[in-house]
Amino acid sequence: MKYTDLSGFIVQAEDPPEMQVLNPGWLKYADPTHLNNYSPFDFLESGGGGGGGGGSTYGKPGEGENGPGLAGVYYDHVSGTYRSTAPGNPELSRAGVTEYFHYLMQPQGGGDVNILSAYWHYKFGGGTDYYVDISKVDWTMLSEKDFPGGVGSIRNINIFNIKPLSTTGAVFGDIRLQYLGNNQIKVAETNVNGEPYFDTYNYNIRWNEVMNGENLKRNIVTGFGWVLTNMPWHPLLFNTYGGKSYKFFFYGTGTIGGGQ
Amino acid sequence: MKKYIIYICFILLIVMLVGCPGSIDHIAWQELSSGYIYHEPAGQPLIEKEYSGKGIPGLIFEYDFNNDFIIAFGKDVQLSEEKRNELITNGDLYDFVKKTGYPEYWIIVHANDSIYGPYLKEEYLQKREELNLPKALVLKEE
Repeated sequence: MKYTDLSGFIVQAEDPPEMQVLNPGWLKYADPTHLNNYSPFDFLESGGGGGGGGGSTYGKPGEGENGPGLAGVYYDHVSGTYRSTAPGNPELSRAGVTEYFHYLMQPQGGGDVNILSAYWHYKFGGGTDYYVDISKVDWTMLSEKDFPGGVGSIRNINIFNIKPLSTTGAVFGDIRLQYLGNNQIKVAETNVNGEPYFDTYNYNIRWNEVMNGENLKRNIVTGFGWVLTNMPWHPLLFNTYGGKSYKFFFYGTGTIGGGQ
Repeated sequence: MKKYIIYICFILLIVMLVGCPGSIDHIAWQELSSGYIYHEPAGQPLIEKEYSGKGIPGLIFEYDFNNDFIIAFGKDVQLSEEKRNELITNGDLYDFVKKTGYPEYWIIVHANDSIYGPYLKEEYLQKREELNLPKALVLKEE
């Protein structure tokens, strides 16, 4: 009874709804799959002291009624405890469970994006797709005059040229938008080749061009960005080294500025 | 501890200001003529016309332009959507197409708002003559 789920958040911990699996906001940076062996709750584990001990008196994530886990934690129906999805599945301490509930109760940013979250996802997202709700993105730097083709027209706009220090400018830069009228926009569904449109967060240096001295400016900036984003936060924090490229997918409609 | 936090903030600030993908897009963006742009959405170098959805299919490796024409050399390759997405995400599509794609030449004529191509090299050179393209417009691949 110690950890009954009065708030109802346990449901999320067991079986996140599909959208959350795809896009659980910053929760997914916790890498529930542990591909990066990283979870913000690793430090909350009980360390095995007096815990479940030997034998398999508990169920593993995904076994029986157990969910796969959310943010590195799952609720085990066999032992009635919250456990880490890390190897050994140690039981969370009481403080750990409290912290977990705090964590779940935070705004989960479903669809939110900012410069830091994009960078964080590069570090810890394991290359998983990042879904962006564009209604939560600031588009006020754009106005109807940016869509001279009128309602229904599609335009590639380089937001970095317009407002470099905005989320849209710094994270997406060049983005393909469709004007829906009434100051509403959406991200285009296909690119010029008719393929599904998405953006990427990656730093691809074209080494053969570097060797030939072509596109120097582009490759120097890309290389500089690569070094900065891939460097560890501290030489001893090994799991902060590197990062993984990923795709941005967009949904929803955004509102541009009302100026003419 | 304080020093450590300052160090992280400093690194993040630099990344935000200089190294984000948005700034790479900015460098890889060029306005050509008659509303056409060269850009690299998701790392794919493309030439397309604003507002019309018209453009050159395939990846562009070289181009030149003036007020009347745009000429381009590109490559294309047939890939499953899955494979293409994988290459794009890992930033490998450009190198893959450069190595394995079949070469294509294109000419855009603004006077009649037409895109000619894809051509093999010989066809392209012939079409150049026919359309009276100025000699100043050159591709290294010619």
